[in-house]
Amino acid sequence: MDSHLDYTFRAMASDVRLLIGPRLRRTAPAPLDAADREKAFVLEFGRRLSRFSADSELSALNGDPRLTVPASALLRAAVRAGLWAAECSDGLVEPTLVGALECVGYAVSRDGVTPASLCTALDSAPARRPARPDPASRWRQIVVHDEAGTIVRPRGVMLDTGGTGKGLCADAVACRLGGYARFLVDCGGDIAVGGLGAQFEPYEIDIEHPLSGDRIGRVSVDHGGIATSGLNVRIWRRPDGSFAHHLLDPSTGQPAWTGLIGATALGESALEAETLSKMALLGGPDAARRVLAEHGGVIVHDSGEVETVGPLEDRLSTPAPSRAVA
Amino acid sequence: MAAVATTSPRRGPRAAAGPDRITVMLLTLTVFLVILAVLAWQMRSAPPRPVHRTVVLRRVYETRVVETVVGAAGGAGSVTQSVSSSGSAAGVAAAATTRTS
Repeated sequence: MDSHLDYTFRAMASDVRLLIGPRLRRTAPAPLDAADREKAFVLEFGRRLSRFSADSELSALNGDPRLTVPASALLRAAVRAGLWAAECSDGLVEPTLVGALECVGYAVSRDGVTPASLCTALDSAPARRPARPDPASRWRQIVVHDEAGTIVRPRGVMLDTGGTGKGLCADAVACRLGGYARFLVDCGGDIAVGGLGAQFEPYEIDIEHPLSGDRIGRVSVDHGGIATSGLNVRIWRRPDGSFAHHLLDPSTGQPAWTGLIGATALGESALEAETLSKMALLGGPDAARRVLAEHGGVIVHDSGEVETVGPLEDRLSTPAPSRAVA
Repeated sequence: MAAVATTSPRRGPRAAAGPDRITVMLLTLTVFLVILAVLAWQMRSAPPRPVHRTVVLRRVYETRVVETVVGAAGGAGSVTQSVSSSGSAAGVAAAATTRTS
């Protein structure tokens, strides 16, 4: 007899869902106790790393005038994940855009705020072009010292771990669930899958269309991560009537309009999948096909057209009706 | 004729024929206590009797518990927990969805 705990709660301005299978180790707590424990972990994770909370560790770091700031292991891990994403994407997905995010109107949490219409925003959006890295590459000047327990960054550079935080959190919880036969950790759509049992009974994961909310397709995942980035949730109208969203072009500090409104990526971890999905969306259609070629993914064009990329083409149980690129 | 003298046995208390009553009682009590101690020692050193463990096997075919807490503090507006188990794993873990968040 197989059994699963299905546990959902709200954290980090998203729905977090845990699916936990039977225990592998006799000493492991019951799945419900483990879920309670992981819920506390995720809430703590979000509380300490929130950019919008004045008393978070991240806000304390950003407000500290010193060049070298003591930082907890969690904060160092989160910043290191952001730097890893920047390194992987050559600066396209980077953690030093806090000032630009605040300038475009994302200074406070948008949790619970109804997003603006993406279709209307696309009609009035500027000409599409791929986002590019910031030539200044300020993220390269950030150093995390684990031995000293400090983070060193240039004066005035504020950090945002939100771009990679949910993926990192999903991976962290997945690591903590090693005593169970199979498990899935869904942090607001950034999903980590693991456990021996998942190798034999993979999880079915639906991909949601950013415009219609319909299911694009269903993919079986037996390990690693899958994540989606899109423009449809964190989008708003500015006082001048133009539209803005939270995925910025690092070279301009303005919202990126690249011809894509959504990208889903698979990866070896949720953090990698999240980074790849953001790279794909920010890079535009051509770059997305290259970025997603190895692990596979789905991109959604401004028109709503869906395109499967790489190995995912064969793994979608409901293939997208539009063209597929091998 | 020679006279035969006969003496009749004396019927009085026997002064030194054996241990007195108190001694007998003390000896009896001592023997009793020794036997009691030996029995107690034997019971302690005896191998423990096997413990009969009762194993209750319970097969749960379907259980579902749903708990909803509305208005929880700390950004967790609502919590829904569901526990389910059944013979079919596929029916238990509904598909997750990856979406923009």
